[in-house]
This record gives sequence, structure tokens and C-alpha cells, in this order.
Amino acid sequence: MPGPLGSVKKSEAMLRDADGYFLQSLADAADVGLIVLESNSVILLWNAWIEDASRIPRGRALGKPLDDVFDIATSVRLPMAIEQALTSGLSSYLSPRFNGHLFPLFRMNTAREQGEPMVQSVVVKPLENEAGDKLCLIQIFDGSQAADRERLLRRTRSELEERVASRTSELTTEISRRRDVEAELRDAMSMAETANAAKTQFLATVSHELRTPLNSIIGFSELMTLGTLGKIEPVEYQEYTNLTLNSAMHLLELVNDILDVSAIEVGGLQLVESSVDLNRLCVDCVARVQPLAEERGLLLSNGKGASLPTITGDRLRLEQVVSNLLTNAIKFTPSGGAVKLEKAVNSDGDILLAVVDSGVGLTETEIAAAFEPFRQIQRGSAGKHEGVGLGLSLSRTLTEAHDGTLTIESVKGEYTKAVMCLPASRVVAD
Amino acid sequence: MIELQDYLRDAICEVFNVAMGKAASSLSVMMSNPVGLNVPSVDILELDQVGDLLDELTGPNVCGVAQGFDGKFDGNIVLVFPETKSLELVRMLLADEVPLDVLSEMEQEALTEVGNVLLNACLGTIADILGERIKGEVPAFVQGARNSVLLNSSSEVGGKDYGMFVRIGFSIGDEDVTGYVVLVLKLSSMRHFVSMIDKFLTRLET
Repeated sequence: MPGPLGSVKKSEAMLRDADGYFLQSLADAADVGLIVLESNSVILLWNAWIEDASRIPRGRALGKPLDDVFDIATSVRLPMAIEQALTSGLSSYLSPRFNGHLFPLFRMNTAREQGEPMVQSVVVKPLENEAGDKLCLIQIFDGSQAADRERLLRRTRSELEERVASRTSELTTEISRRRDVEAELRDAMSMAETANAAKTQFLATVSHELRTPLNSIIGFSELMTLGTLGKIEPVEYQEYTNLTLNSAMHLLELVNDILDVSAIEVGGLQLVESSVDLNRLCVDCVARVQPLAEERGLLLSNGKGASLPTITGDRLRLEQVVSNLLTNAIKFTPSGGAVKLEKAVNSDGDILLAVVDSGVGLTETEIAAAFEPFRQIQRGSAGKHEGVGLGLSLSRTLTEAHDGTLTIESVKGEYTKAVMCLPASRVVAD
Repeated sequence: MIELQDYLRDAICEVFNVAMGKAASSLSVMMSNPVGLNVPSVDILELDQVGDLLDELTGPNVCGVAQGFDGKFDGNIVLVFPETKSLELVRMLLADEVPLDVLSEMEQEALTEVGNVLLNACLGTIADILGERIKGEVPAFVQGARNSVLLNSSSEVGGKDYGMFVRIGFSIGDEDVTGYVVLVLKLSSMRHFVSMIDKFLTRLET
């Protein structure tokens, strides 16, 4: 077994061989390109990696100046780097960014025939041999994969940015479109509110102006009907006076409805609340419309139903609602039909007052329209019914003022049922 | 502590200005765009003081290029930028089409080469003037706290290192970036360096 001194000697012997076979095989084993130049730039070493990448065999490179083998005149950096290594002893780094394809080399991992150029980074270093001669070592690294990765990264980022920009632009357009629509809506709403306020004000003024002369007409036609100042002759005039009085009364009712609707719309509805006996109220309402029902040839009945409790509410307004529902039913039920007032208390204690008729019935659309003010459903022969369609809208508003609801259910050609529901909270405790 | 007399400070400043002139012409050709470099001031400080000064000028995180050298002098030479400025500088130099948030591998390599051109110009000029051969090592990209960047450049274990602190103004087109070159030497080397400059000046005068 050789001692330490023996192994040093052996190493030295091997290194001396480095001039020849050993040095070349070491260089060939390296995974980078290695070129060694003499001070006159003549190639002294050319390893297997560079043979492979350049496709220039060692025999054609060794002993020749580097610029005979490769055209390096176009490079700014390489001649300077070689010069600095040989004369000043400085090392240089040549990055792929500025010297990407410094040497005409081809990528190792692609098919030769494709001949894809290799992205390179190059290190140029000073060397010295035993005799002190200045040499230059050029190391070439394959940076192709790193360049591929970076290209991919940049492309992905660029695509991502494009997508974000495009989406942002879409959203900006969408937001701006929505803003426009909202502004249009606000304008339309404001115009509608202004128009509505003007209408309400107009109605209130006009109604008031109408009522004043109506009072005179009603007062004087009553006097004439009653014959207070003597009999009217000829006898036809008595009938005309009756007609005048009836028409004036109807007109007054209408004007009152209009006034109510206007007052409610400007927030002027005030309930005058007290204890209301609903059973009594039903009897009174039915009695009031009885003559009209008879005139139309209808059977009007105050259904037995439950006995209703006393509630807190505005008696006049509630009467107005029930009378209106009854009048409507009578107006829209053909002769020979029936109108019935039904009463009930549900499991929650809410009070239900329903007016059911055997009339022409309503579709869903007609029901919705019926609740709008100034709309009247033309049922049966067109235009034969009185009124401007304020009653139902007003009735619903008055019911809601009592925290209740007013709904209509109907089957076309069979029946219509209007239900006023007053909440249990309005019941006066015994 | 090494006190620099004004004429010496001016002379050293001039040495680096000559170096920057060489580097600027190489960089301009490399980038096909005129690059201006100038050296407004030079100071010699203890390495700790250089660190404090860098903190003031660059903030805690720096990045740059370091290159070791040996010969009659051995030490390190480091080009330092504030981390944020390094991105700006690379963008100015490379005019990259799709900038990333951090320096990519290729950008780091490009910055290393730019630093290498500049530092080799400094070392080459110093070697020329002093008539000494300086063996420069391969440059490395450095990034992090200024301490780690400078300490890695420290040449002497236990002893005090000195830094020649050189401000460098880069201008590319309309844009300007300030960087710093720190030449790290041990005290004896620094003294030798200054005295060699002094001798060089005397030679010029006679």
C-alpha cells in the first residue's frame, strides 16, 4: 500500500499526463463547453461538448485562431473579454441577453436536423500554464431551457394581463351602461312623481269647485221633489226633478270619491276612530243598497255567518268600503243573479267580510286593473256601467289604513268574491 | 482611518472617471443606446461606515454585482443599487416588453454582465495606472441586506476592512439612476493603493 508521499507522487504523475490524454478526457467529461486559447488566440483545447454543439470536430479546430473557426467579429464583448483575460487577467461574464447566440451552437436535446440555435451564457477567465504563459479559458453554458422558461413566463403574464384588461374594459362598459340606465330611471321617476303631484293638486282643486255648485243643485232639486213650495206641474216635471236629484247625488258621490283619493295621495287621510259594531254596520249597508238591488232584479242577502266582534276603526270609512263592494257587485251582476254579504272570523282572529256575486267574473289581468284608480272593467255590454273606477282603489286604501287587506278572487263567467280582512289587533277586548 | 487630501481625492475620482468612460462606451455599443456614466465623489471609509452610508442612501435591501480579485492587492469590488432601482435600471437597459415584478433569471444575468463591464473597467484602469496585474474573478449577482452583500466581500478575517466608496451616476436616454461602487480592501492594501496613486501623480509631474 503506498504511503502519503507515494500517492502525491502518483497524482503528480497523473497531472503531468494532463498535457495529453488525461487533460483531454477531463475536459470531455465536463457538461459545459470548454475552449482554451493561447495568447495569440490559437485554440489549444476543444472539448467533446463543444464538438457536439458546434458540429466542428476537434481536428478542425485545434491549432487554429478562434476567429478562423467561429465568426466572432460581430460580437462586441467576446474579443474584449478575451483581451482582458489575456492581458489584464480579468474574468468576464457574457449573459444570454446581450450575447444569446454568441457562438453558432445547436441545442443538445433537439433533433440535429432541426438545428435549433442554443441560447448561451459564457464565462471568459484568465489561465496560466506551468511556464507562466497567459492563456484564456472560455466556458460555454446552455441557457436554452432557462430562456424557454422565461419566454413562457412572459407570454403567460402577457396573456393574463390582456385578459384582465379585456375583462376590465367589459366591466367598465357594463358599469357605465348601468349608470346610464339608472340615471334614465331616476329622471323618469322624478317626472312621474311631478306629474302625479300635479294631477293630485288638480283633482283636489277641481273637486272642491265642483262640490259647491252641486250643493245648490241638490238642495233646490230636493225642495222641488218634496214640493215644499207647491206641486210641480205638469207631472213629467216631477220625474225630471227626481232624475236631476238622483244624478246630482251620484255626481256628488263621485266628486267625494275623487276628493278622497286626492286627499289620500297627498297624505291627507285621517281616520276618525271609535268602537264600531260590525254586525250593525253590515245590516245598515245592506239596507242602504237594497233598493238598488231590487231595481236591478237581484237577490241581495246579508248572510248569517259568524257574529262579528266590535272593533276600533273609522265607522264612516268602513261603511264606505262595504257599501262600495256591495254597489260594485250589484252593478256588475246581470238581472236574476244574487249578491251576498258573508262574515267570518279566521283561526288567527282576523275578521273577514266578503261580498260574493254571481256576476260576469274577472280574469287575473282584470283584477289587477280593477285596483288602479280611474280604471273600470267593462264587464258585460260595454260602457253601460256607471262610475270612473275609483271605488275599488279607494276601498283598498281605506282597508289598508285600518291595517287590513282587500283582495278579489274570481272565476270568469261564474262569480266574483271581494274579501276585506281586518286584523285581530283591531278587535276591542270584551 | 485614512484621511484623503483633496488632490488625492480628485486624482482617485479621475481614475474612476477614466474607467467609467471606458465602461460607458462598451455599454453604449452593447445596448445600441447612449449610456452615460460619471463619478461625482469618492470617499475612503471603514467598511461599517460604508454600510451605514449605504443604509442612508439605498435603504436596507440592495442588489448588485460582486467580483473578487487578487494579485498585489486582493479584495472585492461591488456594484450596489437599491433593490427597487435595480429593476428600474434593468428595464432602462433592456427595454423589456413584459416587465415582471422581480428580476428574472435572465435579467439577473444581464445585470451581472453590465456590472462586470463596469467593474472590469475599474479594475483594468487601476491595474494600468499602478502597473500591476490584477486577477479578477467571475462576477456574481448579489441580493439581500446590505450587510450580507458587503460582508461577503470582506477580505480579512478579524481585521478591519476599508471601503472606497464611489458614487456612480448612470444616465440612459432621459433617465438617471444612481449606483455605488465599493472597493473593499484591507487597511494595508488601501494604504498601498493610495500611496501608489500618489507616486503615479508625482511621476506625471516630473
